Amino acid sequence: MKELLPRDRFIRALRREPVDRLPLFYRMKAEAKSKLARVYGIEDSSTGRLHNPELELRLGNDVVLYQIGINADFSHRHIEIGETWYNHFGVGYGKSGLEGRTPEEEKEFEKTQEFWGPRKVVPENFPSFHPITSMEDFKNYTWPDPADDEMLGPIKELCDRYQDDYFIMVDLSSTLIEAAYAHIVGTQNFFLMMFDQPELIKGVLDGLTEYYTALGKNAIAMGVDMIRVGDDVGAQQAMMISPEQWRELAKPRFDYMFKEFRKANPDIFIKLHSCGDYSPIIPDMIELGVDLSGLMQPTGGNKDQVGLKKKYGGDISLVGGFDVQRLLPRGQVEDIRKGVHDVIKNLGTGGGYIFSPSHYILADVPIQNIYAMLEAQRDFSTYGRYPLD
Amino acid sequence: MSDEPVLQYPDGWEARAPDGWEWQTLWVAVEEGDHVYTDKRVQEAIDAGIDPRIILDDGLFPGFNLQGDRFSAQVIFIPEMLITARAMKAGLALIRPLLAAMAEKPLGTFIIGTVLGDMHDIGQSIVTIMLENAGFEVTNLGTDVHPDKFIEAAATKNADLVGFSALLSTTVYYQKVTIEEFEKAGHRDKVHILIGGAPTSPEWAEECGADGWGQDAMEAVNLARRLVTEKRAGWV
Repeated sequence: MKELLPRDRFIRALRREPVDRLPLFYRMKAEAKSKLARVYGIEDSSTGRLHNPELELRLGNDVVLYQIGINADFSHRHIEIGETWYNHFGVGYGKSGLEGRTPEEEKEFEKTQEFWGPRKVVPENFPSFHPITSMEDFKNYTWPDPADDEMLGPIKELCDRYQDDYFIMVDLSSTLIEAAYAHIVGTQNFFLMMFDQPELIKGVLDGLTEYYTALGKNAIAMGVDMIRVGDDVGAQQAMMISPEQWRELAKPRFDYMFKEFRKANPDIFIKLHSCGDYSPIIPDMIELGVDLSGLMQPTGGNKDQVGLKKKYGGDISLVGGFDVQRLLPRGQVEDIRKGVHDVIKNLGTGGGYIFSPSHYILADVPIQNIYAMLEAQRDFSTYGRYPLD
Repeated sequence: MSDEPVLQYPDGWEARAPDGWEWQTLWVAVEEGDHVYTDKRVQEAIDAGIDPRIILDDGLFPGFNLQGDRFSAQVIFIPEMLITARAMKAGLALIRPLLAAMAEKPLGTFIIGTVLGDMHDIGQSIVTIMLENAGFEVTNLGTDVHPDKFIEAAATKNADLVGFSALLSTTVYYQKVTIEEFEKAGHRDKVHILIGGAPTSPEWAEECGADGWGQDAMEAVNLARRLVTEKRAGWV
């Protein structure tokens, strides 16, 4: 097959049609991206909402991603020691791992990042203040503006610049259950309130649904190809809430949201993501008309990649599945080659698969492991040459 | 499903309760996470003069163990486990002072926390509640815990066990560092160290020098029980 344009390659994979090679989707956190960018001679290695996608495109990404929504800005921004930074939802974020860290240590630490895993702790930003913890908070709460030009404005520019060649994905990030527990009300609060104050939980989820439906529709109106909805409901070995609770709390709200998206553009592609094991609700995703599911953390119930592909691969495309928890950061080069080979064989057979690590590439991944993955993916991902059956 | 967990009736409970006493409603209350009824019924049991150890074993544990087994078997999930744990906690709050007055020692002392750099707390807070309910005295140091704080708490509390949680591949490394710090401080052989968290594995537990690894909260509790028993046997 002659070489396809990246956006055509991506769209063909979403439709489970043959492609010239597997489409690719790499995402990196700042530390990993900056060390790799240096090797490629790319100066601007910014991450987050207003990131420079140059490095990702050099690695072969077929998609340009723009992340808006509740966790668009916090996880990639610099937060000072002891600072609480508030986003447009009024959620406060702090930083971990700073005790004992001095500016000198920080410099030393950065040096060690070039080729090795972290010798020191990599600071992460985490939600530390939740704006709604009572009915009174909820009644006084003002939802952010879904027509915010600061969020939406850059989409037009991205489409103008990249859409002729690349697939444009707008990521609403944490959207519903996850946005509620991790950000708006707090995790333990959320799970207890499901029993103690179900009306409050429903109110928060309805507010999120309205906000994200409007935000997504505004992005669709600007001509994007796909809306990615993130909603982590999977833990390592099982779902966090029962599949029945998900069907009650999340499914009808996503149904409404996705129908509204399709009213705005009947051809819009939809991706629904959850970390962890969410395999029990994949049939529900298919019912909701989701085009792409992932990033398929290969643990717990997602472990049986061959079985999942066989069961659902005809109805939904899949992305991810290459282990970032153990294999990518700690594997030997040969293990990584085998891992890439296996995931492509397991999920790529029959098409409808986009190769990707099962999440961001983090600071602890040695650069030789990233190279091993890139090389293996090049060696194994050519449709037709690699014996996919 | 045939292997779905079922309520294990405490053998011969009638003989240990006053005439006409029933535990059925308390088993169900703990199972369903009704902390208001659990509080009320445990108080009634105390007022009826039932030995607090019997209230714990015959009244509270059956419903709690049932839900713990269901959680491990993925029949129930985090929200149900949390409300059961809260009910259990309500009952324990009433009988714990009575047990202490009877010079009943906790099963063991456990220091728990999430390692430096990591702010994930839902898993370790469930493990904490389960350990407390199983009879351990637990000090939870929270998240983003410096190794020195683990060592200090272990020394101050004369802990039997210390557990570190890590949920990121970038922070599991600090489980190893923290264990090394215990060694440097000369405190490593005074405690059993357990680790857990999504990116961890039995192989990693061995590599980083931990004494044990649990896949889920119930496994952590069972492991902790076994280790304190071994340790105590060693003392005799």
